[in-house]
Amino acid sequence: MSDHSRHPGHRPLAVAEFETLLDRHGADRLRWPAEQRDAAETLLSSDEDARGALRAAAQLDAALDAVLRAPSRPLGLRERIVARTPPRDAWLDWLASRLWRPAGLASVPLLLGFAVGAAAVQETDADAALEDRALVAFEADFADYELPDGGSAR
Amino acid sequence: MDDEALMSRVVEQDREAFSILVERHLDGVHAFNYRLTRNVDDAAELAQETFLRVWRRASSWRPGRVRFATWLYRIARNLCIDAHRRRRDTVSIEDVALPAAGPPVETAPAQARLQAALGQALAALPERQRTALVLCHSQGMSNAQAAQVLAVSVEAVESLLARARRTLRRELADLRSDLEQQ
Repeated sequence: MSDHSRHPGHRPLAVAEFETLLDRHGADRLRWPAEQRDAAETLLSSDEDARGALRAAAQLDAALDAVLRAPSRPLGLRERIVARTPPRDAWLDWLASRLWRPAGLASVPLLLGFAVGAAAVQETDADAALEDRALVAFEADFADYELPDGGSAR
Repeated sequence: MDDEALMSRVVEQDREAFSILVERHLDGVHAFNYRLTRNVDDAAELAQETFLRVWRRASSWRPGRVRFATWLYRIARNLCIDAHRRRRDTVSIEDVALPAAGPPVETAPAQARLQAALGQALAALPERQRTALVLCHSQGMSNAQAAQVLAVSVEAVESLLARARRTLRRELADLRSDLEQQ
């Protein structure tokens, strides 16, 4: 039996793996999966490249702390929020809490119906517009032609 | 009383329970909004809208399906994305690419330049990478909690974090190198 299979939490880490863990979890090893921490300490005690990678990750963490520092919330913000809560409609609340799933399912054919209907209306409108344009063009083309009876097309 | 118990009272329009929830999470949500928008006014306004949406949509929250904090931060994130889109549509690209600096702090000029440049590099990250980093690095969430907020797998969050950190570490190394040469 290998040493790894007896102590799966202590499988030696390669530097590349260590760097991947730094990328995923940051330099603070308290945020790392517990089973990787001991292996990381072992690697750090013996590998200069790993120590360099940890320094770079810690520098990034510190820089992020500075860049992502947030100001305090404005005074009175909580009071403003609570004061602005509107009364809710109990019937709508009931509907939302009890019927959201059936209503969602039921609305699918309804929405499909709307979509098909809207497409049909658009098509009809487009056809009508085309007919209008054709009629206008026809009238414009023939407006100045005299008809056999002496009148004009317009 | 935990968040979920308070929310069950908020569903019944209990303003006192709502007030406790707001007090408990407002600092976190406000800081989250600021870190994503880099704008003090937007952060407060979006925090307010986040909690008002919690109130209005309380009955659509499903206890047991998702933790309250996860739901809360999903709402906050969506509002930040909407605000960013509106800003992008109304503000010139130069203004978007150069976000305001963080709150004023005493820093040496070189350090200030470094922070400003890192702030720009952070702002240039894809939204999901930036949000994952903010949730895990600054908001103290575990990778698993961040995955729930972003509605992706833990592996996907770790991939987002790794790409974000690699990009920023490279930027930081280049910046330090430039500063040392000057």
